[in-house]
Amino acid sequence: MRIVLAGIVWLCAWSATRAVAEDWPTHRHDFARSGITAETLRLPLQASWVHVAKLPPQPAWPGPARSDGWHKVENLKPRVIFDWAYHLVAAGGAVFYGSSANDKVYALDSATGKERWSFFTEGPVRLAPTYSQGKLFVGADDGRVYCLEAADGNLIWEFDAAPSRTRLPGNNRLMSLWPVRSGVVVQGQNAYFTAGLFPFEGASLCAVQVADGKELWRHPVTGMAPQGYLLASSERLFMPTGRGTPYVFDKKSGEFLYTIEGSGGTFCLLTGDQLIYGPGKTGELDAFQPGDRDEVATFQGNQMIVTGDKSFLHTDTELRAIDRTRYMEISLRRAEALRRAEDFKKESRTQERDGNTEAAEKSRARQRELEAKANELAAELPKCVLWSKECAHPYSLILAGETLFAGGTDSVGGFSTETGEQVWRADVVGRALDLAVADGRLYVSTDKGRIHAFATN
Amino acid sequence: MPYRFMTLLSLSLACLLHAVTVRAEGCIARWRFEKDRLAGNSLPAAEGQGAIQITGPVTWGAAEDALPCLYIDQRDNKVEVQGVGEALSALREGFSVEAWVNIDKTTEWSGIIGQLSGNKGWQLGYRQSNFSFGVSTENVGEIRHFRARESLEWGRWYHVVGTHDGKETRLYVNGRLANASQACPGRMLAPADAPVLIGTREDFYGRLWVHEIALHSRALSEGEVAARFQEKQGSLPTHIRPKLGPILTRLDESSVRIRWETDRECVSEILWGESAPPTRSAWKDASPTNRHEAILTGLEDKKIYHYRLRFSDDSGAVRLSRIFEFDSSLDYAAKPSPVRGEPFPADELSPIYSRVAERILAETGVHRGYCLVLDAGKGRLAHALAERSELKVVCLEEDRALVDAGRTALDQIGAYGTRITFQRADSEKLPFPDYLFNLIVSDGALVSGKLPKSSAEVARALRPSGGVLALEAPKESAEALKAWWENPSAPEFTVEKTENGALRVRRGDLPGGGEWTHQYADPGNTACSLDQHVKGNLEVLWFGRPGPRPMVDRGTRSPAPLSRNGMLFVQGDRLLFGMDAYNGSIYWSVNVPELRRANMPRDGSNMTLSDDGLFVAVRESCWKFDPESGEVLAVWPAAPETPRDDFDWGYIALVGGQLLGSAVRRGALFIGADGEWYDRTDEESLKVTSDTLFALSSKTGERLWEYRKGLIINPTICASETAVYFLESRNPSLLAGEDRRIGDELFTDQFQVALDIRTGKVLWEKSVRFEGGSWVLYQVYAKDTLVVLATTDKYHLHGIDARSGDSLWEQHYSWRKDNHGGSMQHPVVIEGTIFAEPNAYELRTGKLVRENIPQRDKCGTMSGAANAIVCRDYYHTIWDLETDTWTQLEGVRAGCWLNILPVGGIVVAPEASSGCFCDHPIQTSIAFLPKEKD
Repeated sequence: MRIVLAGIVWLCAWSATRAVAEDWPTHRHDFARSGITAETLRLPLQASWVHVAKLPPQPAWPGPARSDGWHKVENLKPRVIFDWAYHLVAAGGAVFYGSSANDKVYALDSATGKERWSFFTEGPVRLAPTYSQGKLFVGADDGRVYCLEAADGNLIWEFDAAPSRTRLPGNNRLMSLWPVRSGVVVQGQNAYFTAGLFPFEGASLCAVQVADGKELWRHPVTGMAPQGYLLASSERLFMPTGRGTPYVFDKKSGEFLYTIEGSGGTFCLLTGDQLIYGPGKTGELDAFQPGDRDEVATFQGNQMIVTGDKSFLHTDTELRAIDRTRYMEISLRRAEALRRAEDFKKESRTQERDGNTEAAEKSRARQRELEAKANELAAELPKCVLWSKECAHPYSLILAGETLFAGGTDSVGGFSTETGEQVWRADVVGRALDLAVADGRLYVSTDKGRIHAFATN
Repeated sequence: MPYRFMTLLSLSLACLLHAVTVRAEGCIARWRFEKDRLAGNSLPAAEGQGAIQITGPVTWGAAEDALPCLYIDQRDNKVEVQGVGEALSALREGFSVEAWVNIDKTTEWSGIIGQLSGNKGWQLGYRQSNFSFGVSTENVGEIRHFRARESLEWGRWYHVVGTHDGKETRLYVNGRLANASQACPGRMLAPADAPVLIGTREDFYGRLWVHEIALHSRALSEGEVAARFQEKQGSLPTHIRPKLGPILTRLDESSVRIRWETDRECVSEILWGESAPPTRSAWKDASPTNRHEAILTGLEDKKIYHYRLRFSDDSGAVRLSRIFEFDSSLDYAAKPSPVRGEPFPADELSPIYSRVAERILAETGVHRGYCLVLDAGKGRLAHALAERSELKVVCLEEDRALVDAGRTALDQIGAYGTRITFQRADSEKLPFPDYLFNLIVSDGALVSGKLPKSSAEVARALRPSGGVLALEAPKESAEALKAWWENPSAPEFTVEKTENGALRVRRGDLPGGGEWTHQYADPGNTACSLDQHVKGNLEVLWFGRPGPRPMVDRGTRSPAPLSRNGMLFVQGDRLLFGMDAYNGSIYWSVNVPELRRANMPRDGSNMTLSDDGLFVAVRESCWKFDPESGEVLAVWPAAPETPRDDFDWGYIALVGGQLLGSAVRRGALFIGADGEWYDRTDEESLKVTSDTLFALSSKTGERLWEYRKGLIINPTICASETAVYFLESRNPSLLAGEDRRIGDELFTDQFQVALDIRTGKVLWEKSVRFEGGSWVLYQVYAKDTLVVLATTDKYHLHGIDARSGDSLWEQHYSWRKDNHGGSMQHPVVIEGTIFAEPNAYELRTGKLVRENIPQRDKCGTMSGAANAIVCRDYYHTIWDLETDTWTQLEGVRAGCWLNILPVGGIVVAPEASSGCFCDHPIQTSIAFLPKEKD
């Protein structure tokens, strides 16, 4: 009896630390790139192991100019940063990543960090693989998508997405002109990805069968330079384009639907069909409603986490929580006011041209009213901030249960979602640009090619 | 009693005299920035009223500056004048503000001292590279700024004075009138609600040293200003610069080598730090020398460092240089990572691989760029070559097991990916574009006699202008090797060796490939390389570094890159790159803080290229660089008989063995350090002029001749093989003045001149009056014809016989738009046709041959090949002249002047869109191949 009781006590204790054990099967957990796992890690975490990659990441693109001389904007933010660290996925007791330096896909044992296997592609692997049902899907700069056995790295199939086998010097490496720089979205029986980089050389959105890599469709897309993680909702696919703006597709047919406005950036996430992306030139995230090209809300920040009623975002210096519902409600009203003001502005110009001065003046008066209204609403937005704390961890942000984990320089921190107080931190080597939580561990990947694992003691 | 009366009278007279003196002086306050006079955070006036409050950290001038001064960087500090508000509000007779300053770094706008409330008030400051003085008055509400024409020089002391007497506003620089205007009459406004601030304007923060500032309640006269300048200028530290340098070279990610030379042997020191001014001594000579070399380590990535040199001048006094800035971002490998370790077990083949690798490298002379190893096996020859060179090695092997083994072995020593990679394919159809490889070898031929399947494919992939095929095939006879190598249609290949089982074939320059050795291609300014291969549509050949960070902002219309013999030379922001045009390898780069030029439409480039030298104008001299290594081979001054700081080297060109140059007064060149766009007709369209034109031997630097008569208009200088041509103004008042950046006054007493290029003697000269040139004024030479292009309210094109100066024809036509370069287009001459947007004309007759050539959307000027024109539409664009097809290469854009070159059978376009806010998705250096091959 005592043994049974002890067993029950142990089980409860163990369960308390591992309420829900989840995989982290793709970049930022899921294809909405939410960065949220239901798994809770009991703090404090202890350092478990460190994997030092043979070679540090070799990013495709160097940073932007220091400033925009004409517009007098200093400290431009880099927008094309999808491969500054080795992004991680974790599932089935292993941690997986691709190397942009030696063209390999790696599997590490999640408990020890020891290498289980590795697999060579023929070009830099710049984005994280996707794990699905015992298989690993990864795209590379050689223009191919590979499907591997997650257990041992054996090749199941490979799909050549490039129309030509030519390799040329690009981004300091020999590569295909049709690299797969979207990651791979696996949903149901299908896998989706893009191939291509330079619009004039042709870029496509592709779909293949998960089982055997057989092509389902391939749609060339005019003007697209796909770079960043492909996102998927129930009906749509969203493809960031680095410095450019995201493209939206119908998932079933692959038909191109529209592009979104904004200032570029490879951070994207979906909440429902609302897309939030950035951080543009100076650190702003814009939110877009389905079907709309213009943003309905703007947040000052580098990355964001969106839950049902709260959003968390960090800037270079702060971490804050906002009342999401209220913020969006005010933002939508403000966006509507601005749209109507713009309509009245155009109308007044037409009326002026037609000689209808009185009507034009009325339209301008309405325009001014609406702009004033929009300004009033803008003044309400700061009141939606629930809390705001200084934070020196601006590079990455995820949510595990009730703890936000954020990556900084040589440091990773845990923060309470309720108060924003820092509740935990640990040292890492390099800038912590990617985080993942799975199977009771926090994994941190840095720009120095280090992968740190932390676990509850 | 009389004594008391006399005493009282004397005292009264003294007071009266003092009062009269004060009224005559009108000095409201004078502050001298001496740290010893600081009381807490307050600096009292040395004369008059008021005090200066300093908040935040500031730096006081170092003893070596020999001048008490304050360093202001307004980001963290605030320097406010208090106690003068009433006096300023009460101004009636006029106003003067006077300052002794040393600008460390300019910005879009900044203040030396000012009092601004919105757009009202006054300010003495600088806008971009020009001092300015602005006032608002009762008559003219908004503030108006008046700028000096000449550029100020960073790190140099200046006396700057602004005066306003109710009728005229004046700006003086170093005792000389720099601008005068009557556009702002009335009593000057000094808004009572605005603080008087030093060193800032709104959100713009320049960096400056301030020695002294004074405010006067009257307008100082021109004589007074000159006298004040003369009185003090001798006591200011002269501008200290090393004889040569500094020159910085990256050694690796965290270390840099800095070199400089001094006139005399001395102990030099580097002060280094992240903040300005730097104060930490980071390195010092162990003993006196005049060639200094320091290596600094521990650099962090993407940081801005500041440094100064400390060394003694001719008198032995220790002085400081100006503050230099260094961006540690290194987006390309300073050197390829070394290959260390033994991935393969030693066996009987090991010494063979070593020997062969050493022999190949020694005999071919190819040590860098890309190497292809055919039938690479496990990569043993590849490893031996990579270990002994800087080559990036690509292994081609079709056997999967060998590929896997090779990758694994090389990955174990960390060489896979960074230096050596494998591609699984056979050699029948090489999966690489044309022209890529500097060196092609074969492991299979060496160990098993397996010759590559296709010599034609090898030839195709070999880089022109020096690529080498080095086959080691000991089992093959010379005849067999020759028979294998058959390329009758490729005359540029030279078989250098076919003996002892070795075949060496070197590829020369691509026949029909063009070159670009001057700003507009050649000394004639034709903007056409006559490359025969570039046409039709293009495909990517390579892309990558340098990216936008090391480059100059796109709007400054910077010097064009140059290319010849497969090499590409690109200027960044005070950086020079030497690259491989065919595969994008960066072979060397140097950081030269004084290397900067802008506004090509109103001046000319600062570099030119020959077989044995890259000649670059840096301040007062031309530096001759070795194109292969980036080492400085020689330095020649533009005006050796004058003090160093008086003239800069302006125009530069090479004709035959002659280096042509011109001497430009210091301050006239455009630097473009502050996001200028140079798209307007204001001060930005003033033309840079030279006092002299001369020729040196490009081998020895011997001065061959010099011409001096009028003010030579730099953008009009062009040359043929026998003559050099230019326009100049002989207006006596311009010649007597000191301004050398001149506007429409240049179009008076204008002459068109031709000199014998060997002797500098006048061949002919004509008094001319072309229609203005307020926007731009160019001259082009081709086929015994000169063409002058001037724009005022439209384009004016004149054809002139180059042998006699006789007029041949003229055309006048409108531009499509007056922005984004629409009114500034430089013509392109392709054989007998001159393309002058929006039309094209016969060169010799001026007959219109084409109207409305395809329209560009954005900035930039065109560059031509024999059958095509490349330019920027919105993106990179090629216009095939035979098919009249306009093809835009969506996704990548060029800079705002000329940076796309059709050369060597390809098109190269180094990154030039830096800073652009547009959403074009890719910012990269890139090169293109014609899709259709001859």
